Amino acid sequence: MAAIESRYNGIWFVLPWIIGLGAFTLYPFAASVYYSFTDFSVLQSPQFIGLSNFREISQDEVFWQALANTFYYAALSIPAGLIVSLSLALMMNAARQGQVLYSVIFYLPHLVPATVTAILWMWMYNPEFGLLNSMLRPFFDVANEIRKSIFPAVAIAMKTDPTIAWGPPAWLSDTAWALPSLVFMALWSVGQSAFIYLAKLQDVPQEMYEAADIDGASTLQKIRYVTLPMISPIIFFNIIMGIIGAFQVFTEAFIVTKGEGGPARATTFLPLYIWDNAFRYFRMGYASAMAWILFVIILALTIIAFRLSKDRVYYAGK
Amino acid sequence: MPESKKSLATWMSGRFSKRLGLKEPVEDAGGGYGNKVGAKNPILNGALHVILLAAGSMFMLPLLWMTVTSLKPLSQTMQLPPTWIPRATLAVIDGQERVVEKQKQLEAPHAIVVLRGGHEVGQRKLLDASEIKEGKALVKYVIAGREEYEKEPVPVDIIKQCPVGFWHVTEWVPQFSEAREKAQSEIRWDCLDGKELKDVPHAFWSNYAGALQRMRQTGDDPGFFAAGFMRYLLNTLWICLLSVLGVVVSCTLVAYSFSFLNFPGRNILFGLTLTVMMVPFPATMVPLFDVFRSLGWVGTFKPLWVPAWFGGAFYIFLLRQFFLGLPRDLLDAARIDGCSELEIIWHVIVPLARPALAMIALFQFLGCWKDFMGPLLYLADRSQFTLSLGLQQFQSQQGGTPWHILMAASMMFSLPLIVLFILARKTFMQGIAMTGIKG
Repeated sequence: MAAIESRYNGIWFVLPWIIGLGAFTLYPFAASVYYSFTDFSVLQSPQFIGLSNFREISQDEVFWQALANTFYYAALSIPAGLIVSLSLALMMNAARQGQVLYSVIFYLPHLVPATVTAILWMWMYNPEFGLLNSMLRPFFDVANEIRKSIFPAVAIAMKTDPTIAWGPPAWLSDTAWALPSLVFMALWSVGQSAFIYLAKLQDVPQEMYEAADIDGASTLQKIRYVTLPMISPIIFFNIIMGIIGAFQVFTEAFIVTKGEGGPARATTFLPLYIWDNAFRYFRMGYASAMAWILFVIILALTIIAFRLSKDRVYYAGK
Repeated sequence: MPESKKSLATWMSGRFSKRLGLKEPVEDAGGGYGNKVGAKNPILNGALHVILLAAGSMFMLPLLWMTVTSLKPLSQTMQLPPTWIPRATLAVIDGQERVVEKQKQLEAPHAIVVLRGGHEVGQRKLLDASEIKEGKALVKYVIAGREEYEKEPVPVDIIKQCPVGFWHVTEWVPQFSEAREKAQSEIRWDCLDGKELKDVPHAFWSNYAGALQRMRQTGDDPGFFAAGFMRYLLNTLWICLLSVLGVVVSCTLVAYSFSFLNFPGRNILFGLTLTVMMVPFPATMVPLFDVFRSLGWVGTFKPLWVPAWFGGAFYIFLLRQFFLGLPRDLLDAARIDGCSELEIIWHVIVPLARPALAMIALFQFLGCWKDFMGPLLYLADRSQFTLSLGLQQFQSQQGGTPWHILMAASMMFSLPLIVLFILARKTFMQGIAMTGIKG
């Protein structure tokens, strides 16, 4: 019946997308290349300045700090997210009852809007009255007691003052803890990937496990040699999405730090710094140049991930 | 591709949904459920449940804490160690049982008196018994916001003796309510024996009313839908309605075209559609803002919903996957019957693709409701804020303190999504499983 279809009739239906793709993605994408070579603020039109933006970026300490923070965040959050969601999915898959209940429980936090997640965790992390420190404080009290009464000599030997009590960290207001706190907060919303893994795990053919049983494989061997290879495409897909997501982290950091990226720039991520330059200092050319660096990094990491995965990802039917 | 087609076919045949969302597993359901990786051992199975339950409680803890905090009075949010059940003191004041606040326990004998002279004649006061001499006492009165002593002791009538150990209690008035500012002098109070006070679990629902009220600012239009929570809610609903409609209409047309119609460059365009999903938002953020600025759309809702009417890469991809699984014979039959392409979409595609359309509508609604960066970029005036921007602004202006109000507002902002999830769990779960299918 293909003869009934004319060669061009589809163009009208696809027209909105051609316009949308052009106006809201391709044009801005191309324009940002040009802007990155210009001096551009809202007040004046772009002036071509060659590579000056990139030269300035290379000497911008805040940029390097933001880049380091972003890499640090990605290095913590991608593996942690993978491990947590995959182990939850494996356990849910292996448990005989209650899969629906568990998947709903793990999924619910993902439904909570990022604004609420950020505010809720600011409350959880509150150094004085937050739930987290209230739960941790008893442990520190015990530790302090032991330190004071039983091992004063050890404390002196370690050159710590036993009268200064140990306490739980101040989380978001502590330069060392602020970024890991954000990672931990992001882990709370990991339920979506856990659910995707679960769906994939249930697609693994039962016969493969039976075959493994006949070969006398242990549970761990079955996970290692049957389950993981079978779901490797979705693991890989989630890693790529994780890279893209981690390098774009914005909302939570913006809300938690009121847009400052504090304390002491400990949570200034690249997207946050790009935002600052574009919409706070109105240096849109400079911001575009940094956005391009961010894009190239994401692209490079994605390509590396593809290369590394070549022999490790199993595609059925290929 | 064969992989994804297989999954889609299973999904459509309904097996997928049965396995994922709807039924508890039956022990010997032909191995369809997850007892594959060695949970046949009951001890191992039990251990798994212990770990899963522990992990589950950790995931639920923040949500529970949000709920509990939203039902506490301010004083109990700052109580150490924290309590899990909000409590209130009840007592009979002015002939009615009310929630009261304990002000202090009396350390010396006091008396409630009625002033018979002075500036505040006729008022009740709680005085230290030693201040009352021969039916007179030197009392303070309030003038221009300050307290001054009367020049001479004024006559007083003692109406109640309050021995040591009695409590000075005041009627509890919601924090941050207009009532509190207005009626400071009208708040009921008494001194009561500790035995007359009852400490009971009590949910302070007034925090929710407080959140509705507090998210307004002084100087705002006092109407119910003036800037404030209700206004933000209306804005959010309006933007999300428009963008959901836009996505469903435009993506159906575009995906239909990609699936069943011809036009030059179709495959290239589809390849491009898949590629742009990888473009990170910061890379297009600045020029996109410039586009909307030159259109004069900054400061309006348009940048938040108009793009939805021009399709979305991910939804087009998902719908195309779904459409390709539909029986082509139906389309051809409709064509032979003389249907136009639009009629085919309306009479054939839409009824068949209802679950997929519901799914993209749901995802778009979710994304729109949660969106923070878009409103932050394009909305300037408080009367236009969406809930997520309004909540963030409220939080950053208030600093840290009113956690009970913030949590109440957060609850009201999150609950619709949770209710939606419970109502449409099937669509949700199918959709999430679908999004992973393209791997």
